[in-house]
Amino acid sequence: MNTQQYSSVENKYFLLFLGIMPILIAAESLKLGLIIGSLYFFMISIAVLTVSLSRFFSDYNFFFFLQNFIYALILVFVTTLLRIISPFLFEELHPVLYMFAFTTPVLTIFAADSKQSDQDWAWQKISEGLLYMTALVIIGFLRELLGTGSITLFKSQNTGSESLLAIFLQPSGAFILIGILFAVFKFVSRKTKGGAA
Amino acid sequence: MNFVSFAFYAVFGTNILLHWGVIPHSMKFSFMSWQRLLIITIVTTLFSLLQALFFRYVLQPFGLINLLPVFYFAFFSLSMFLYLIYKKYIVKSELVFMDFFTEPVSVSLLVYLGVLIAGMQQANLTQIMGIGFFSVLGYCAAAILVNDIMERLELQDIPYVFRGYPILFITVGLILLAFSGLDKVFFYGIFNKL
Repeated sequence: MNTQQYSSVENKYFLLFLGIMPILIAAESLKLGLIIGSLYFFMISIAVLTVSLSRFFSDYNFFFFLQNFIYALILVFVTTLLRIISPFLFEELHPVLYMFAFTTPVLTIFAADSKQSDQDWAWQKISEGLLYMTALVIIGFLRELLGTGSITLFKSQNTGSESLLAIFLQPSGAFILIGILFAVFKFVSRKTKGGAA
Repeated sequence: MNFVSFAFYAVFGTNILLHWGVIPHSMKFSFMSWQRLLIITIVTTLFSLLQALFFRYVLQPFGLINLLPVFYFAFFSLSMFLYLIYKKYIVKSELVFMDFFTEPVSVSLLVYLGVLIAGMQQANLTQIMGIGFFSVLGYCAAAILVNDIMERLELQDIPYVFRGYPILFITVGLILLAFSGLDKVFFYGIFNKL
């Protein structure tokens, strides 16, 4: 195993996965996974939309800063709206929402790919965003199921007394779970390739 | 709380890797020379103080807490700008600006996360500065630890499906488990009794 493979920028999707780790760690239940996943999908759609406008700017560095500023304003709008609609939900979620301030440069780089004027490129990026949103929901579901032994999507709040494997509710558990999921995917893809051959 | 206890808490309890799950991208960690590390920690410390002052005396009294993302963006941009100046005029090296995992953005994010971690704490201004300082040092320590473990694992006979990213994630998870354990040990006062 070569450690250089981890610093290789060629594996862009894995690096994006690392970039969204803060929100993956925050997705500790199905409810949070759904909320964070939806917001992530919304933000990446905005990223694709704004990056497609970059051809109108000659200085891309300036555009990078402008785009991140727009993200920040959108985040202000979303948090303000949430605070007005549901103050309790805002209190519960605001640290997670502010995590998106971290992911904005990551999303910008992710969206700032080649072929920016191509419509297929935009759909491809949005569908990839949908894929990551699904990953967030699945990880939230698995962590809650393994951590508490049940799914409390429709309950107002978790009692906190239920625990099965509490480690999966911690950040360390998120990493271990993601590592195991990577290994399972690797195993399945190897078997599939082996079967196809 | 004495200085050692505080440093212990800041390194393990407010670790960027533990709170944000940001795996160090450069496993060799070659970009972090002592000089740069010192500059990053000083900048993070000053920004942490600035953030605390701005939050307490501007955002909170005027009810503008919702503007925090814009404020965070300003910190990110400012730290990136400072790093670009450092690279251009002090180190005098070439830059590949728009690659996320090149130095300017990743170092700016490190500063930004350190400031964010410090801003989350309910502490006085001196403690917030200390947390900003030690959180960067803690992250660097965690990064070096991950690097060393991964290098040693290269020599081990690991099953094929766990090689590469799976073992990296599991390793980081176990390090975080140890870090959070140390944090809880401190939290329950055992450290002070020793």
